[in-house]
Amino acid sequence: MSFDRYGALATLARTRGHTASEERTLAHVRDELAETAAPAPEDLTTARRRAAEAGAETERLRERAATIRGRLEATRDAGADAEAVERELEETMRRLSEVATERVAARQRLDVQETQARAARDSRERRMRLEDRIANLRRTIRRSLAETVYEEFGGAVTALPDAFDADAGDEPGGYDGEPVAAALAFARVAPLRAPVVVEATVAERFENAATLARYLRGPLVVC
Amino acid sequence: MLLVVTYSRAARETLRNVCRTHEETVVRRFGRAALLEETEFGAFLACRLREKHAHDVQVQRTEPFNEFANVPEAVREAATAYESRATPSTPYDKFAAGTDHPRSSTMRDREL
Repeated sequence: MSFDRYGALATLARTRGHTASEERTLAHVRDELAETAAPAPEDLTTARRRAAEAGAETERLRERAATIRGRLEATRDAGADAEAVERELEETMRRLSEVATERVAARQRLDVQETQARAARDSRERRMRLEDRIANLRRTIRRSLAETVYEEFGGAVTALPDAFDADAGDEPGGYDGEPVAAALAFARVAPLRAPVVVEATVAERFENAATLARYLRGPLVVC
Repeated sequence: MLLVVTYSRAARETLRNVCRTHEETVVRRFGRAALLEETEFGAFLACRLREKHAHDVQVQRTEPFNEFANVPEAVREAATAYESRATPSTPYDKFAAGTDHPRSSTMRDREL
């Protein structure tokens, strides 16, 4: 099993009326985050795709025009009728000029959107900083709340049978023992409304269920 | 190389995992950013990040900066001269006044 020691002890501290000095700062930072609007997502993907496609199409038409030009020269050199090839070249050049214009426009659109995205990243970055700060404050608060009840918790750890071989140390970070031992010690000091449910193997480490119930100072279900 | 910069906690976490799993493709890591090798695999990783975190991921293609090929001589010379100035506390524009070195505002307005 795993047991969230800091979380449990912080909750216990709150039920005992303890507060942490950082809580007001946390509320401020949360407000600030709420006010820092997430920027509207810009659709850069479409702009990137259009710019790339227009570029590729321009290249393709340019190569095609060169090929037709070669064919035109060969046709003329051979003294054959070049009218059809001329028309084909004309059509390709017209299309090329259109696509080249599209390419410039797509490039410009992408540039504009990238500039906007850069500005939007400033506020994304601000939001991330605030979120980091909130996470840090929450950690600090949990830690300092856990400390306020740690002595009491430590007493409960010491009161565990030797079979658990757990040591609370002097501060929340100093705990050395199985998670189940921490959970039992916590159940002893916490004002629990529901009975504590334990596996029979845990009760055995207390000699019997009655000893465990005495340790927990509350109702118990062994399963 | 491909420079990947993240702009959210979730995207940063994914980048960290990607870097941990694909060390051979990561050239350099800087907290919430990383330089990936410019291989198809580097691009694959960048595309995955972009796919998963969209706007919270920025990808730039970088190339080595050659000051002899990309920078006007006057700018390069100004940098050299300023770095060997006699008084370390002299701001650049004061240093450049009355010399041939370009003003910082002029340089700011000129694209490379």
